Amino acid sequence: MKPSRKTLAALALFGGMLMAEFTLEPRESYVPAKTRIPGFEAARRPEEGFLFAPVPDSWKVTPLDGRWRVLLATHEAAVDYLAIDEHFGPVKIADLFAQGDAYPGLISFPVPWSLSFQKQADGTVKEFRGFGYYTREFEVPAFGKDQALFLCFEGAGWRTDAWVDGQYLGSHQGPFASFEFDLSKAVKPGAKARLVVKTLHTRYGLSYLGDLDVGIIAPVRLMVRDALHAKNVRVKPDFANGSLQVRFVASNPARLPAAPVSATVEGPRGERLGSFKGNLPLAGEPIFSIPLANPQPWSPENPALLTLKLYLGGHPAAVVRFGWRSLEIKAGEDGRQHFMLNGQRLYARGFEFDTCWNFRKAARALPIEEGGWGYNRAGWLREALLVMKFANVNVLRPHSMNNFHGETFYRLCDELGFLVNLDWNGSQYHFSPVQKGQRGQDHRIESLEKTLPSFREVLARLHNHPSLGFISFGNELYDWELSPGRTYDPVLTQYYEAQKAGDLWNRPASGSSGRPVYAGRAPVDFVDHHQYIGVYYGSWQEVRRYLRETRSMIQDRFGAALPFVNYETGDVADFRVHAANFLEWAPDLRKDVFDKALFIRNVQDKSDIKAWARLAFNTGGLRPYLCALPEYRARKSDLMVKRYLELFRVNRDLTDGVSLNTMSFTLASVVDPDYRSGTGGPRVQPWPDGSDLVLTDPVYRFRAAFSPVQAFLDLEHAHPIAGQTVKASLVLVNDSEKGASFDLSLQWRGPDGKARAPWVKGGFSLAAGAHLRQAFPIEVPADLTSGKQVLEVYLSSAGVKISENSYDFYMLSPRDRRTRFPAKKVAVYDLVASRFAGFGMASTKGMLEQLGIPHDLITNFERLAEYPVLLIGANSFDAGLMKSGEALHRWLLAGGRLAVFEQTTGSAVPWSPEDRITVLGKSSFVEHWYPKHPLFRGIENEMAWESPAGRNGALFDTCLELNDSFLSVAAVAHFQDASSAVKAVITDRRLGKGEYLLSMIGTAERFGKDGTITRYVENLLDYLLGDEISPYAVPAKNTGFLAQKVIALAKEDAEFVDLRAAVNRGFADEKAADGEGGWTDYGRDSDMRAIPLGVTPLSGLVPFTVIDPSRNGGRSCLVLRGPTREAFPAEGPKIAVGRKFEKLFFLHTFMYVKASANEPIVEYLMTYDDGKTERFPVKKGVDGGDWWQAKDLPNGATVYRDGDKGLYASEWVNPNPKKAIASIQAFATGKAIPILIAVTGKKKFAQTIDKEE
Amino acid sequence: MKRSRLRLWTLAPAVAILAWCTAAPVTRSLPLDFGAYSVKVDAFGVVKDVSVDGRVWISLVHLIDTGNYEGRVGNTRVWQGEKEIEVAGGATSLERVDGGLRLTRSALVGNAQYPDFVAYRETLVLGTNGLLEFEYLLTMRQDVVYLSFAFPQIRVSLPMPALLDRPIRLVDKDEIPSLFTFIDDPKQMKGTRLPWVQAFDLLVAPLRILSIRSSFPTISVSDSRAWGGNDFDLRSSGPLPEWKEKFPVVRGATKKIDLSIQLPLARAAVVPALQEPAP
Repeated sequence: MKPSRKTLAALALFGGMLMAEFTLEPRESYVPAKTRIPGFEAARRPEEGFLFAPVPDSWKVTPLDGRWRVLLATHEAAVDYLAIDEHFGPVKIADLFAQGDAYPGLISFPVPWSLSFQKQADGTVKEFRGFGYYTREFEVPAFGKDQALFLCFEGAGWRTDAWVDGQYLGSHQGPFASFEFDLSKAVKPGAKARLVVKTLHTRYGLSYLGDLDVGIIAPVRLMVRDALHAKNVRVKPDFANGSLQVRFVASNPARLPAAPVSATVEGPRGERLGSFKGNLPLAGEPIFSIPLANPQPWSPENPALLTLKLYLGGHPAAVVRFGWRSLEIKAGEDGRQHFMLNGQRLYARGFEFDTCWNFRKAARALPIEEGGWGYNRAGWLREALLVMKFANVNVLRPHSMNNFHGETFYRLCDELGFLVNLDWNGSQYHFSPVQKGQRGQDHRIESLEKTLPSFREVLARLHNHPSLGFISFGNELYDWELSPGRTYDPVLTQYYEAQKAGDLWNRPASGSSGRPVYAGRAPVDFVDHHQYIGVYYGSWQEVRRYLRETRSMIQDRFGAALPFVNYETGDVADFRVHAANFLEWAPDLRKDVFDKALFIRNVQDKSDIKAWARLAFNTGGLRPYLCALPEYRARKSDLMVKRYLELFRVNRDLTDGVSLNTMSFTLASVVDPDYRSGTGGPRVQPWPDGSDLVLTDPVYRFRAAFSPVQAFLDLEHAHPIAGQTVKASLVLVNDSEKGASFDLSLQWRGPDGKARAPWVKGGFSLAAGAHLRQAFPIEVPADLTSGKQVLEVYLSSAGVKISENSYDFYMLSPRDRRTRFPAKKVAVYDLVASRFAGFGMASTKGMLEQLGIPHDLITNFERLAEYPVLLIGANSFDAGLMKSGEALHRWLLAGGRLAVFEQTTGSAVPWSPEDRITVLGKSSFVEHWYPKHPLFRGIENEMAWESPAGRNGALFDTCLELNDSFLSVAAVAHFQDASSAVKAVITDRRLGKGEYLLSMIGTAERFGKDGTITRYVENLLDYLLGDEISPYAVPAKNTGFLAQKVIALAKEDAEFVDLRAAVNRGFADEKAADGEGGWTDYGRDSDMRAIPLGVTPLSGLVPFTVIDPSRNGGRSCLVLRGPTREAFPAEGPKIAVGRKFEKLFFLHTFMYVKASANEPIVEYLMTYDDGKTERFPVKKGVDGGDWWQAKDLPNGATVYRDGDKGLYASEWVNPNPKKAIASIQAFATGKAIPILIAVTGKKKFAQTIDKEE
Repeated sequence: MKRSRLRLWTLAPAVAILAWCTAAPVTRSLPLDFGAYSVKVDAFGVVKDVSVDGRVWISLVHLIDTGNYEGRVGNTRVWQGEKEIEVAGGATSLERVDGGLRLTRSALVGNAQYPDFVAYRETLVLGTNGLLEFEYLLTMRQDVVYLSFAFPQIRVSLPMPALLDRPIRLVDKDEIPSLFTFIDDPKQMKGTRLPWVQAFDLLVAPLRILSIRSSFPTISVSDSRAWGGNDFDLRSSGPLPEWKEKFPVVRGATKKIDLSIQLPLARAAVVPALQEPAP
């Protein structure tokens, strides 16, 4: 297919020429990684488990893993691990040693394994908290006088105490770091010895801490080594001098004050890079340097590892594997600070790597030998990391809210090439009785303080790992969760200082990940913001704004342009799983049975499980629950993964990295394909057999967004009318370590699979770390067909593809535009065209003009009967419309057809008590439940209804109450708000012979620019001007008209009736039922003391004079007799008036209302100056009601609220306005306690609205 | 006739007090009549009663602070014009500049807790084109942790009767326009979340638009009728912190707020003559 002339003209700017056609790589979901990822099979290590730190070859290691005997003792109460001693617990250790394996209650138990989950006899899994008393015998290995024997734990806890042959060895806190005890003096070589190890773990606070694996969770080994050896070896690459600084602590410096020290450094292939020899004093922390010859830097792209071998006194003392790298924060040419890895700017292409959720509790309750949980069992962790490499990830952020990754993880990251953002979560490991989200979680400060030694220890253990890149001291440490006046600042400052003191590599620290940049004064090196903005129901335009604003706030907050990353944002998932989850949670909502009422009940259900469903609505959309469209899932992961990551990456002038809150199982699952937030359930189908690592759709989106060398199109929108130009920028990035030269190619691919209009520009060249942004308007070929068209983008060199990218466009072909509409007389009530004409805004009338539909612009509804069709234009709800509800209602009943376009304010719908326009969140997604409705003809694909041009990507600004008339819905508010999370956006209802559509989709500004919206408007008008009413139009339940009266009075028309002589009570009452004070004698909690005094409309429309009781002898209101208050008068005095009024407005309220609906609760008697009278019976539910939780009534506007207490304003229309009213008198009916506060009259024949302009 | 008398009344004191020289001090509330519009400025630099053709469109422009910070004691609200400490040479003065008058003032303003809470320098140019350009340079004099609205704000009050039944366009911080016509119904705003705006336009008559712009796209808009008032308030502040989060502002921190008001003039204005004050 030839490119269009327009396209070629546009591309001439870029030196366009025809190219060889490329194709996108396959993106198959749910395929085994080994069949999809090149080299994966060869890189697997199915035999692999824990990885240990290297030790000298001469050291002898004896594993103690296998079956131990264990006694489990539940202990639920919180424990301060630091405040107890080794005796704490139900078992006497001496008894254990005395009875050995015969001790009652011991069971066979594997080591290592987690105690966290215990499989019960009935097959269920119980979370375990408490003591584990482990014991076993072992044969003491031979060791000489110059040697030492150590008992080495790779990880156990939370608190671990150990004994051998009855001797106490010591204790350790925290399961995250390896630790050891010296057995040399406690056992004899070759003898039998018994070990007892006690672990204690009690869970506090956060329920998901139940996922923390505890007990002896990692291998236990015996190690014979030279008595003189080195501990805590810390190396520091000195890039400036090309030398390696080495520090260590000698095992026993008192025994040998000084010794010959030698060391060698070897490269990845064993080649010697440098060496050292000297005689050093061993006290303290000896330091020396080794000059290195051209060491190969370590980076995620080239993870070259070096080895230090250290000798003391000629004996092997330590082996350290490390990387030659530097990671600094430095100002770039743009004046901003960036991460610099080995001197080149680093952009963090992150992933929130949290493996523990990979494994279901059921699996974790199985022993390892039965296929249960085990860290990196059968090389699973390595395989997951290989998928990360395939996804072009270079930084991992293990969210430490549950399991912390041990040293095996860092060893794998060293080897495979990942930088890790260590997210310490000591705030939640001690003393957490208060649930997250509540205030007053001050215990988390204490917890951080208590775990500071553990943090120091972890840092020391991980010190030499090149993969340890960044440090966070805690996830989401929000001051607002603390008691007033408390702040995390001091403890975070302690952590910062501890890290800087212990970390020779000076890794960048972010304080607390998620701690907003605006809060706190604790020092940070960079900002890790982790906001979820723009993900749940926002738009990509909103993300752009967020990035700009956050950058500005960082500058304001810190006075410096610190690096800005967002290591936790977004939330995507395997959308296939969502559908299964929903059907489990709402099994009565099947995809082939759709019950609107059932749907509404489910989305408004307050239970936690339904809240999770709503969360998935926000992230994954609603329709996956009712369909299983691979196209839908692919598109969602495209929008919610690729685009989001792209937005950060193309805005690299504002940001330095990004990671989604996407779990590793989302990309690659091993044994738990049916993850569902802790619930069990059947497997999701289809699922391949076996336990192979399986890829899901988002893998490919990460892969594209994170390709080190990539071309991005920063688009204005993706819904053009074919032939139009879409504004865009081209962003080329090179985040590889080498310069790159390439050609750029683009082509369209339509539903027929054929590529169209291919073109190429050659000769791009980008240095390592560089990027290029330039305007890149895209002229869409006019001959593209309506529907989905993919714009494919390739970078290639010498005809070989380097990277690929793609953008889905949803197109409207001009050929499919509607040019003829049924002929009907159309009235348009359009304030933008009539009243707001001076602003030059797009209007609904303007759309009609563009379409050539004849119409009359009306400004009132007096001649409505002449029109079969009425359009209420965008932004057109005003007083005139609100007061015309009854007329519109009548017209609809008689067969009128009405469409209301988008409004920007919330409002009642004056002809319908069932509907309401409401203001909640905006959304960039809308989903249509009845794609067969004529409104959606040709645009049934919901993917065409997402983030269109303009209005910040919001498809609508206001939405509609969710009721049975919905055609389209959207997630508009936080998922935990059951009543608001999901609302309607388009509704269709029949009323009598007529029909009305409420459509809050933004149309006026987008018509003619956005293909989807243009087609929608054309469909809507064609439908409304036709004769057929869709079967999806739901009949109104109530065809009667109950609209609320607008009770209003302009101030200049008001005259106040003086009640001062008639009132009998004040507003305040101190004590209930004491016969003293004011109001109704129900005490200070049930009086009206807070009411504003003087002339005031309160919050209503009518001005009243509220009497100040202090100026009226303590009296300000008239209270009459009623239930429980028989002592008050049954009637009030005559209130003198002596004037003519069109209307009277009464400010009053009622307590203890015992009346039936429409029954009078007070009566006002108006006596004219000719002695004749009129009565105003104030009816319950119509003119007034109980003051408690007062609601608006047809003739009773709630004009004042004080908590649950409310006042009503009611209108009485004077049937005899030409006669002066001599007096007003109030009479109790005995059905309520009436309280009259003020009366205002409307002057006769007064002008009501200033028409000066 | 009424309008003519009003104009003469306002013009007279201006002629009597102002100086036709480099800078004239303002020692009390001073009406300035530009013919096509008039304003009052007081000795504290507060602007009141901005009128066009005798109708007040803006009743007040001044610096305020809600005092919503941690550890507040007593009445912590700050109002320009109350509890001010005048800095040397900072007295309110007026001088003629190209195309209008320029008002300047520098002072410290405080509250019950901190007598010197914030220092401000106000510059206002009143143009013959009907453009009022405010610039406030604020310097915090205290360390405070704001709970909302970090830094004082510039408040512009519009009397509600002037707005009723007239089309209004608000352009929110996302550049999304909204159209309102205030009717005499405070409930109109109930349940309607007014946007944070960067522009306020009032269509006074065809092609006559009162426009208000801020240097920050964050003008908070409120309809005081919802709680019994009768004003429409625009408050220009800096970028806001996240909801519920604290915002520490350190002593010495500065913020500049620019605010411009284009009056809906039907004709060109003239600079009032500045004369030596009467002895």
